[in-house]
Amino acid sequence: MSADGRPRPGRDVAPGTTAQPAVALRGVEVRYGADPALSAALEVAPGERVALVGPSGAGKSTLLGLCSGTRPLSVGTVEVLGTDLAAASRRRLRAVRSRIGSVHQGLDLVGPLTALQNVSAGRLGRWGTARSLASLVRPVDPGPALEAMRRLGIEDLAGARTDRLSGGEQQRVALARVLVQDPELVLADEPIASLDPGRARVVMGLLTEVVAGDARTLLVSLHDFETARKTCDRVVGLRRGEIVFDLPAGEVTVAQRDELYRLGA
Amino acid sequence: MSEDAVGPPVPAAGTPRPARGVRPDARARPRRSDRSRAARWWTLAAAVLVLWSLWGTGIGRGPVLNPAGWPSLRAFAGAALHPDLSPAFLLRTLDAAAVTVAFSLLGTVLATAIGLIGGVLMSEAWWRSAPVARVRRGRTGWLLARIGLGLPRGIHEAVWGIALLLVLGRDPLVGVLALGIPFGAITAKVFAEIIDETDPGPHEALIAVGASRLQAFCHGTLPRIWGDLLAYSFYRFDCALRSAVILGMIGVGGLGFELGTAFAGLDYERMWTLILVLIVLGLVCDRWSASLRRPGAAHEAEADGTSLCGDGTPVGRRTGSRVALGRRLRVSLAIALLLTLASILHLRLDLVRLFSPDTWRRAGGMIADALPPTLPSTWADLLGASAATLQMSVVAILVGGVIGVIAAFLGAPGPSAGPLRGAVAALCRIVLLAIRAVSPPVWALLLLFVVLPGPLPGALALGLYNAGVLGRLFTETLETMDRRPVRALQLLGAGPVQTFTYGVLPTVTGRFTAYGLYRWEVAIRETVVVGVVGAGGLGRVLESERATFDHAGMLTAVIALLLLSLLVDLVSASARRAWR
Repeated sequence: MSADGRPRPGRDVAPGTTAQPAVALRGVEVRYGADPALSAALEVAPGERVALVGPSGAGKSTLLGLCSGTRPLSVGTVEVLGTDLAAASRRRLRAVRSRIGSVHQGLDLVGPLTALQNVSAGRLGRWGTARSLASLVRPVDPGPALEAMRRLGIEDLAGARTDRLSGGEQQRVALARVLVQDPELVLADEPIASLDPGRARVVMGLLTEVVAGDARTLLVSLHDFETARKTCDRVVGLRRGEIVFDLPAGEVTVAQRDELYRLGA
Repeated sequence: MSEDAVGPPVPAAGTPRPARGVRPDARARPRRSDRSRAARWWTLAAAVLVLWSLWGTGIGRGPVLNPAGWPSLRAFAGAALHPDLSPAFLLRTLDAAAVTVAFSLLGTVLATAIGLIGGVLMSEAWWRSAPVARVRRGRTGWLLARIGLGLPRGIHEAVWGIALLLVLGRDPLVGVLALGIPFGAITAKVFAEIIDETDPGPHEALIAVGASRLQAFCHGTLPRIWGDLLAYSFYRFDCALRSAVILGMIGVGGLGFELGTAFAGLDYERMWTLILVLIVLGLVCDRWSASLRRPGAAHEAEADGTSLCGDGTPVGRRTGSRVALGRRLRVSLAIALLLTLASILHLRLDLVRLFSPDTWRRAGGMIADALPPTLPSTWADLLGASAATLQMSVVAILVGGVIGVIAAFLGAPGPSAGPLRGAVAALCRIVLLAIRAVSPPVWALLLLFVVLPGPLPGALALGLYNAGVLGRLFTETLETMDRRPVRALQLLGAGPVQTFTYGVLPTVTGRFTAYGLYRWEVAIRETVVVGVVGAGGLGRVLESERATFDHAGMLTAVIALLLLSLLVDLVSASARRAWR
């Protein structure tokens, strides 16, 4: 992973330094009805790449939802990029969200807009209203968006309607939007769950590309253990809403994986 | 000839588009620049058409309001507080309401019967399963059914009413037939679509083991679609009720007739009684028919085609709690059957009259009289009336669309709205419902209090009515739209205005436009109903020809209306394709 010579602050940052965690879940509990869906404490340092693994229903999506402030929590605090999400004002929440990139399997692009408009939408958090409206008519400052699209190899699709693109192209548009957003933290919820192995490899490569750079943090939920070990620095195993293990990628064993996915236990 | 080639060609425009997802053939499509250039041309043409229509209906060319009418309007508004509730009038109103309901019910029953037979004959599935030796004849039969049912669909029920009045005189049969024939043709088209959307597997399996086509249909296909067919029939009843009021206004009897009388006598108290009854009836029927459809399907039914081009949207499959829906359908069916019997008794229908030599002689005489069609006056007059009709329909959709959009955004608060917004939304929906319940000619008569006579009050009346319909369609679009892209924008820090302009607006614009165009196709036909109360256009020509018994002239007006409808259908279909 460090082949590009990129510094890896992550785990290597000594405890006690002033670096503020990118994500800090403290004594968090989420309940749906009576059942606890998640009960966890987790800290992710800036620049770390952390994979959440575990069977379906383990609480991976819930945890990611907490970090983006879309799931209400019952107990505890969630601090993302130095902001307590539950206590933040609407304005403050928007400001933090503009620094968080989200990648979903459903892509969630606006179909009738052009690819370029979708990619440019990554900057909405920083643009004022007037500028956003103007850009719908004629792209305002399309440079960064075009550059992002070039990096992902889709610059010739800039003017095409997004819902007319193929699945793979749409995936790149979604990732280009994150790239343009230039977030400090990327949350990815099962980005490759239903892709064939080849496509999955490409997407994971692109995702790594998106977070390449200084102190960009990645928190990704994955089904595939091997992918998690290969692409991330740290692997967190979840099962029934609890963290079972939290280890550097190199130290996770096959036995731990099997234990995690053992049925009926 | 291979088995695949047996069926008639599939109308491409009717196939539903996948809402989201992957298009493997993306690169094979026409270049974007060509598409957007076409779209730009259509937008320009639409702008010109709208301006021409506004100018034509008299906006910006002098006074349109009639100040002398204000006192009347005030008197009318004042009468809202004390409608005529005298027992004698209430009894008369009740009787009129029963007549109107009976017309709609029997008309719907007739329409359903025509629709069932015609729908089977129009479906591709039926002809596809014909024995191979009869393939050629099958294609002819399919084509004949399509053409035979296309024509009655293109002629508005009010025109049918006028023609039947001439033949049968003031007979309750007029109301039933005038609703049953055109609605039957529309129903047949929708039923055919439902049949063709159904998996043909069971039908073909039965054919394979030696069942006749009819047996295979009754045992293989019908049990799976009867709920959909019935739900659509109840929706048709809802439409029939509104149309029955219009028929009443041209003299067929019932609530519409009473309304016309009250308007003619400027009897405001009675008008209010009748309008209130109309609204209550409309509310009940609307809720009833809506409760029999799966949620979100109303827009599909409402935008259905009277279209001659054959690309009405399909009626969706009902989902959700099927059991409860099934029970509701059965109970509704039982109630409808009872009411049907009561209606026949109430109207004292005399079917024998339909087959009496007298009737046929009169019909023959009228047809002979009308052929060949002659010009009502001059070509210039006919063209002028046609232009006015077109302008009225355009202004109607413009007005309806603008009000509809505003109403929809008020009526569909997002998932995270407060109680105040919720209350505004509820109020908005009730207003839309009330607007829909009052039919366009009534709106026209009301508007004539304050708007100078001419095409404008007609256009505004149609516009108001279409605002009710479009508002409901738009509201449902907003409610059923995919919210995930919007949420994604919120997640990356977009504010409310940005989320709306980048997420909501682009997502619904296409649907809104398509609905507007569909309703335009309907509106051009509906111009006739505001025309007969004096609001200009071909409807007015028709009405004046009727007064002078110039049947040949009437036929010309009807043909002009048909051609105009066909033109609008073609333009609307092309525009939809270009803007898609």
